[in-house]
Amino acid sequence: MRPNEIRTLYEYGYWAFEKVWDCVMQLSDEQFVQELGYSKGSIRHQVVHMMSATQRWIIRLKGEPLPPHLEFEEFDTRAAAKSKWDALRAEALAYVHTLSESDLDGVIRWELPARELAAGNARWEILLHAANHATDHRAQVLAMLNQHFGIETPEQDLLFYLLEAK
Amino acid sequence: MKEWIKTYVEYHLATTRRVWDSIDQITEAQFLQDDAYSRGSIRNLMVHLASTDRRWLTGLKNQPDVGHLKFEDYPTRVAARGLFEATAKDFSDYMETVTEDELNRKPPEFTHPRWAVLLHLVNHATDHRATVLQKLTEFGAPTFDQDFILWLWSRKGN
Repeated sequence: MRPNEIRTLYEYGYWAFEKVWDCVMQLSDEQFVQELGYSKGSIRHQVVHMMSATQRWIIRLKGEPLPPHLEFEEFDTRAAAKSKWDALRAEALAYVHTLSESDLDGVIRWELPARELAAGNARWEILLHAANHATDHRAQVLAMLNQHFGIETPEQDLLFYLLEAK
Repeated sequence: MKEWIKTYVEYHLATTRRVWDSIDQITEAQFLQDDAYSRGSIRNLMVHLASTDRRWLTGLKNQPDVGHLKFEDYPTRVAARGLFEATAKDFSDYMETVTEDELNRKPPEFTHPRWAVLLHLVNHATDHRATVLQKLTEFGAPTFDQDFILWLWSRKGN
């Protein structure tokens, strides 16, 4: 995988989530933390889960000590979650902009103790996973925003990003 | 370059096939049950996915636009799954034959190179599968995490 390809995917992912944030900001903070009974629970839980998962994968890729997962309860308001989101977005995009093709091919060992899994994968595989995982959860959040709160939600097609960025 | 996009397309097709195995656990009526969100029923979502892949594939192969398929032409799970399997075979065959040079070039009338279109298709499928998996959960069918890293792990025979 080449650096411009992974950069395109990450720029798209954060572009798409800004559209999700536009919808999330139409909620009250009470709605933001409301348990909804699917996947991670509330919109807040989904957002924090995505932040935490991406952050931890990137820290693994950098070879730095792995921090614990972010605590859902530390983000009781949309503003608190968005502030952390913006900081982690900057870190993630800065990281993917440093990567060369040989970096992307480098193999990283990882463990998911909660699932009793351990393996080694190329950086590009791990980065594709984190981006795909975010698309999956964004889709869940968009459905929850529409079905539970009646918010008109956008399509998150990569094609729309490519056309807009052209 | 070809390795990553070929692997990602394989993930897309294998994971969509797994969703079809879950769809086999619901009734035909649930398969067709309308929903106000996105494309509507699970049938509509799955036909939309296959139709999108089919339509873009013809463009990637420099063939004339075939337009979108009609949901109503696939009234049963068997019919819709047949569409998926035929499209998946076409997609797999294409990935075997497409060259590095072709992946880097735009087909006529496209705005982006083939690798970007293929990346869009895999991402598009993850997006809609997430909605289908949510509906399947509501119907009480068994579902799963569609994580790429878990698919890679299982494929290595760990």
